[in-house]
Order: sequence, then C-alpha cells, then structure tokens
Amino acid sequence: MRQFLIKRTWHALLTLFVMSTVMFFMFRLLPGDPTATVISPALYPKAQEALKAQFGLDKPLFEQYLIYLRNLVLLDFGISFHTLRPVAGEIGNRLINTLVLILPSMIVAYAIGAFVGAMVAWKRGSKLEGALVLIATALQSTPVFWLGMLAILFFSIRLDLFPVGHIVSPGMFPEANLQMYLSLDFLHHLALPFMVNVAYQFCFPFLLMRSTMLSTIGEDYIELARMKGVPEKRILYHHAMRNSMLPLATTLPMILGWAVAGSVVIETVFSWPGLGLLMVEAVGRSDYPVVQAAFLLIAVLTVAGTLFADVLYGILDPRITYQ
Amino acid sequence: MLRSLSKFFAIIWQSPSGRVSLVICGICVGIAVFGPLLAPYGPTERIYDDAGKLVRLSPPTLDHWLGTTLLGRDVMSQMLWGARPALIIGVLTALGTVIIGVNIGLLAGYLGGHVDNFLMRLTDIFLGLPFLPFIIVLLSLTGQNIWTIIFAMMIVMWRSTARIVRAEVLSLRERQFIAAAKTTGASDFDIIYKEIAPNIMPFALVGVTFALAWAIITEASIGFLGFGDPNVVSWGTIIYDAYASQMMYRAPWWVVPPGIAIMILVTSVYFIGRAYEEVVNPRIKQAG
Amino acid sequence: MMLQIKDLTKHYLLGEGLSSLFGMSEPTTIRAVDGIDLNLQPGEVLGLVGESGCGKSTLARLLVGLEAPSTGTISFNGDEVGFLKGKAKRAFHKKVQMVFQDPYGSLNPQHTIAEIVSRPLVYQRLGLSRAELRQKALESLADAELQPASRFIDKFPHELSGGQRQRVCIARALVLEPELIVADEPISMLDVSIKWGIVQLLKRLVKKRNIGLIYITHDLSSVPAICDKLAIMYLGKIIESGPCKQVFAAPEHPYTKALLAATPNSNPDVKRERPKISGAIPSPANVPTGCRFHPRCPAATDICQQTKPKPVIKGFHMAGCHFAHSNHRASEIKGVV
Repeated sequence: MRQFLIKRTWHALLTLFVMSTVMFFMFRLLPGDPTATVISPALYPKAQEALKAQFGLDKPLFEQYLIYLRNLVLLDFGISFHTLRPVAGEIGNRLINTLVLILPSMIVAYAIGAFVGAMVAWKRGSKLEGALVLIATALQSTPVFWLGMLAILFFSIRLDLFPVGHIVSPGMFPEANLQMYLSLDFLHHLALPFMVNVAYQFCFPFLLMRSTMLSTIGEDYIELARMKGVPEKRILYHHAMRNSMLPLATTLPMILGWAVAGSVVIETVFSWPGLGLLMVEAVGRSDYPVVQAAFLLIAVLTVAGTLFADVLYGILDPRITYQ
Repeated sequence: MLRSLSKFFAIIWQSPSGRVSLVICGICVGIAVFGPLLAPYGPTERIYDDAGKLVRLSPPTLDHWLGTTLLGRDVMSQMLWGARPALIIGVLTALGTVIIGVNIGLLAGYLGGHVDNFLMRLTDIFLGLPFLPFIIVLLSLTGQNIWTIIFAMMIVMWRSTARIVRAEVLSLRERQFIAAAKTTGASDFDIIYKEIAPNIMPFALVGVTFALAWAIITEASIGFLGFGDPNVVSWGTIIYDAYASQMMYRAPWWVVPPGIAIMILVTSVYFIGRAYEEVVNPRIKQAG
Repeated sequence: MMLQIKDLTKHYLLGEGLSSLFGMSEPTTIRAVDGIDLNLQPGEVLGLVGESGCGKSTLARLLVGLEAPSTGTISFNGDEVGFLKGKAKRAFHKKVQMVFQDPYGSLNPQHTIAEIVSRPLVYQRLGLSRAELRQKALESLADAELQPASRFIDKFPHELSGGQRQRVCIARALVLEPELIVADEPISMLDVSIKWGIVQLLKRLVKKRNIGLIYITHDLSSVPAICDKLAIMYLGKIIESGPCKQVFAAPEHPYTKALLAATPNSNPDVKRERPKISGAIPSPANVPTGCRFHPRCPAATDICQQTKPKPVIKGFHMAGCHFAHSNHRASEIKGVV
C-alpha cells in the first residue's frame, strides 16, 4: 500500500512537472509574442529592455526556465501583466471560489446519479427509465454554458428568483472572507450555477450506474440471494448496488478532470470569479503569468483528483493488491 | 474497413433508438451539405427593411422564422450555414483523435516494454491535462481557425482511445492467431495492422462516435468562450455572439435554436454509439 | 537429414529486471526444454508425447521459430535456423509451418476463410494478385479436404464447426508448400467423431507431398495410426525414443510404461503391466537431481537419486533410464496389477 501510494504520487508529480515545462516552452516558442501587450514595440528600445529585465525576460531561455521552476516550487507565480501585482495574491481566492462551486455539486450529482441509476435499473423496463435515459443523454449532449444561459433566462430573468451571475451582490463584501461564504447572499448566488452543474454532472454517473446495475442483476449471486430468501431491499443495497459502485470509482478521476476543466465554461456564464473565469479573462488580456498560474492550479486539481480516485479505488476493491 | 462500416450501420439499424438517431444524423449531414443553398440569406448578411432600417433583434416572423440578431442577421440562415463547420470540425477531430489513439494503443500494447512504458506515461500526462483550459491556451498562442481548433482538440482527445485500445491489444496479442501469423512470416507491422487492427475496429468505431459527440460540444464551447474561428459562423459562435452582445436574455430566439440543434445532434450521436456498443460489448448486451 | 536438433535448451529467467540487478531477489531458471536431440527425414512422422507442462509446446515454438533457443542447434537442411532474423527468417517460415491446438483461437475472427488461408502468401511478400491469392486458397482448402472449398471460402470462422476450422488451419499451413509441419495437439480440442478424419488427413498429406510431420500430443492412443517414430518427453527432456512399433511393443522407461498403461487399448486380450506413478510433474524451475523422473518412479533406487542416467541405445531404440535394456531390474517394477 505504501509503495503504491509513493508510486502514484511520483507519477502525479511527474505529470505536473511535464505540464509546467510544456507550459513554459509553449508560451515562449509558439508564434505570437505574449509580452507584446505590456512591452509595446512603440516604446524606446531602452524602455523595452528595462521592462524585459523587470519581468526576467532578458536572461537566456534555459536560465528563465530554471528560475520559473524554482518560483513554482516557492508558489511564486510572478507578476501579473495586467494588475502589476503578484499573481499568487489574487489566485488563492479564485481557487476557493472554484472549489466551493465544483466540489459540492459534484458530490451531490454523483450521489443522486448513482442512486437514481440503481433504482431505475432495479425496476427495469419502466416508462420512467426510458424517459430518464433520454433526458440524461440529452443533458449530457447539451453545451453546459447554454444550459446555464437558459437557466438564467428562465429562473433569473422571467421568474426573478435568483441573481444574474456573480458570487455576491456588488459592494456587499469588499473583501472575500469566511463571512462572505457563510452569508445568505452568497448562497443565493451559488444556487443557480450549483443546480446547473448538478443537472449536467448527474448524467454520467446515472447512465453508468444503470448499465452496471443491469449487468450485476443478471449475475448468479443475485439469483442465489433471491433463492435463499434474502429480502429484495437487502439484495438491492447490499449485493447489487455495492458491487456496481466500482466502475463509478474508476471513472471518477476522468469526471473530476472534466468538471474542473469545465469550470472554465460554467464560471464564464455565471460570471463566477473562479480560476476558470480568471483564466479566460487573462487569456483575453494576454496576461500570461496569470494564465500560467491558473492553468497549473487547474492541472493540480485534476491530477490530485486522479490520485485520490486511484487510492479510493484501491480501498473499495478488495481484489486489488498493491505490488 | 468497408466491411466493418457496413456492419456498423446494420447493427445500429436494428435498434429503434439507433434508427431514429441515424435518421437525425442524416438530416444534419443533409443540412451541412445543402444548408447554404437553402438559406435565404448569407450568414453575415445584414438585413434592412423597406425603409432602409436595419432589422435588429426581430422576434420570429414569417420573413424571419427564427428572428434576427442584434446586427440584423437572419438566425435561420445562420443555423443553416452553421451546421457545416460544426460537422466538419467534429468529424475531422473524431477521425484524427481515433487514428492517433488507435495507433498509440496498438504500438504500446503490442510492442510492450519501454515503448509501452513511455507511451502510457505520456497518456497519463495527457489524462491529467485540463481539457478546455489547455485548448484555450493553445488557441490563444497559435491563432484561431478551423485547423488550429481541430488540432488543439485532437492533441488532447486521443488519450482515452489509446488506453482502451491498449488494454484490448494486450489480450489480443496472446491469442493463437497472432502466433499463427508469426509462423507464416508476418512482420510486426503485418501483425499490428493486418491481424490485430481489424479486431480493434469495433472499439475504434465506438471511439469515433463518442469523440464526435465530444468534439461537437467542445467546438461549441470554444466558440462560446470567444476562441472560435472569427470568420466562420457555427452553432457555437451564434451563441457566443448572442452572449457577447449582452442581448441574449432579451432575444431567446437567438440563443435557443443553436443550443437545441447541438443537443439533438449530439444526443443522436450518443445513441448511435451506445446502440453499437451494446451489441459489440456482450457484457451490456446480456443485461438487455 | 532434413531436421536435426542437437542438445537444444530453452531456459527462461524469472524475476529478471531491476530487483534482481540490485540483488533483491534471486532470478529463477525455468528449464522448459533441457537438452533435446531429434532427427527427422522427409516423409517421416515423429510423435512427440508428454504430459502438459513437459515442455513439448515450447519445443514446438522453438521448431517453428516463434522463440529462439538458449543453447544448442536446430539445423534444417543443413542450415542453422535457431537465430534467424529478417528475410532469412521469413524464408525459413515458408518451409516450416505449424498447426495449432485451438482451432477457435488460431483463426482471426475478423477475417474470411479466403483471407486466413491466403495471408501467409501476403506475408511472404510473393507479390500475387487478388485472383491468384484466391485461387491458391481454393486449392489449399481442397488439399485440406474441406469440400466444396468455394462454399466455405467467403465465410467467417465463427460460421464453421471445430473440425472444419482445423481443416482451415491445415490449409493455411499447406498454402506455402512447406517441407515440415509441426502439429501441436491438433485433435485434442475436437469432437471424438472427427479426430480420426484429421489424423488420416495429416497422414495422407505426409505421404502425398513427402513432407515431415512432428505430431505433438499428450494422448498416446492416436499415435500408432500416424507416427513412424516416437519420442516421449518428460520435464524438458526426451526420456525414450525409437520406432513407434518397437516402443509400443517393448517400452523401456518406467514412465513410458505408465503412459502406455493409462492408454485404452482396442485389443482387450493384450495384458500390460500397470505400474502406478503418483504425484504431479515437478516444476521445471526445480528439476530433481539425478534421474529427473526418480521422485515419481516406482522402481527408483539410490543411483537414480544421485546420477543422471546416460541414454541407453539398442538399435534405434533409446531410453534414458539406468535400467533400460537390462533384464535384472525392469521386470521387478512394483505395482503390477
């Protein structure tokens, strides 16, 4: 078990290292000079050089790379081209905002999806099953930003139940703090993006659980339990559902990855000040220290999710041995 | 190849949901091919009324079945024009994705050893890559046109196909018909592409359908985030225009149709993939 | 001599790799094939008999070039063929073909019969046209007596019965017109009713085309019908060999006797000694000292435990037993019923 953990952690770190390296060289070697917005070619050469030195761009590429790596380890993401303030200061709040939206909605979506999927498979052939499968597939096929726009259109504009976007009402909380996350105003803003994300993320666990359950129900040990006279409820919860959980666990890292990466879209629709929105804005402004930092943090979340799911899978499946 | 394809369609045609989905997809392909001929206006043509005034944000009328946009463009025409890029980008990306993924899976699974280790580590790294953020960064650096969009999606999406194919190859390469081919003088290339690859085809076809569904949605998302090809009108960019104009909540006729079109198309692609997978993958088939 | 095998071994190292490099674990040697000599002439059928796990399948894989030997030589028409590569290897594959045990697993389920039978010609880079490939496949199927060939040629393997599939496998082996065929348990997975037909087919092919056949089986009952020579394999070594009739009539090695005793005979009047052997075949990772059969041998003595027996040869009949071809011990084998 310990060796397995060490190996997986090592792979995760390797993945992050490769990604940060790719990021570094992508920005510097691909066409399109990302520094052009801050260091205007119209400036005097002297001024240009001074600015380059300020951002450390005058050193050889490899030295820049080493400095970049050292700074990453020290969680120093450089200075934003846009605000000219350290990136690290801004990004912490953004990270929390993303997690506050994504994690609870993922957990709820997974729980509902797994439960409803199991129930529908248990009473298979019902009209409800067909309808739910169609709805879930349609939801899965819908661009989530469009779903968000429809939700705003209907719930916020027509019914006036929820505010249109943002995390709190303007001016209510000049600084993000614990009080803000506990306020009713925050929850009011959270409700709509939360529900949209649940509706969207619900589909995958639902469809997966249903198909796994359908094949589990056909297994001999379920038949045997029936013949032994085990109550139906007990068979459902203790035999069928428990054994159908594994595929859900194996696909969890993938889903977590999608969800975190998908935050880019859902945060944009709801003007939710998380990492995703920050990244989209920063790309639009060519603020590449911020882009890098936001991207790497999103990557850390994805990779950490994968690692977590791997370990969880090992705990859930007694057949797995750690070599 | 051809044999697998005709079998593919035969299998899907057998299931009712598959049949409906095939028809829907056929209609979408029809729109992609003939849509521009049917469209009453150009995709970016501005429409003026008799008085010479721009027809802005007109709700659906007999002249403009789906209304007009803020810039006085006919939404119906945009919808008819927008199917083509959505499908071209989707199909090319799906094909490219599966071709890369199948080849990497074949090589890793068959050659094993260091090649396998390297390719699987690479796959793991790509699996950890945040999908949309990476594509956005890449597009912001390479510039935005149809080809960079296809390239950016392909470079990330091959990863899951590669994994599935590799797992399958690992069991296929131990089968006796592989040894039989070796004893008749087949080279590694022969074995990978003439003996193993045909057995991978069903997985590749499932992969193509799911990749197609993903690519269409992703293309729309890219368009929505403002990284679409600025010279092309696709269903995604119609939604982006509505969003960027800040008028979308006053003009539902502008945002609703492209979303519904994407939803219907992708849903039917999913159902096609599933109808095929249920037959090919007997584990699910048993369950009915 | 068409095929000449000298002191052939195939050892696998288990636990190789990083851990053994750092001395963390001792690699284990699996002696799958452990010093084998064999000869074969064109038109001859050699029966290779042994329990599962005795290394006969490994020997087959060595013979057809699926694996390279550890030591020893395989010469084919006078050329060493154990370590061929590239074009030379391909040319060798043209002359030596294999028929596999499993007629279900050895046919690619995605290919038609025509493709399966003609693929060897493609892999040999003979540059034949489509029509020629099809014609060759038809001829080969006819040779394998799958008739009418044209009715089967466009089917898929799953549409055929086990016996028909095995005939397809034989057709595939014949299409390259090989000089030697290695058949690894070709009938063990077939219905009893069709086994005989396959054996007869192989026999006719050998005579008609004057090819060599190595017929590998764990079941002695089909051997007299087809084999000219017989070799009994135990734990990677041949412990008895000779003309088929002679070995059947007067087995020398206790193991051979036990195998023969376990085989049903069609003639109820023939009474055989029935020595009992107990236990399972030992692991090839841990070959016993002295005579490798001694832990299971009902006649084992101290010398069997300590000294490896030298092959005792009388005429063409060889037996690797301390007491072979001698009268004083062989008749005392215990356990006669």
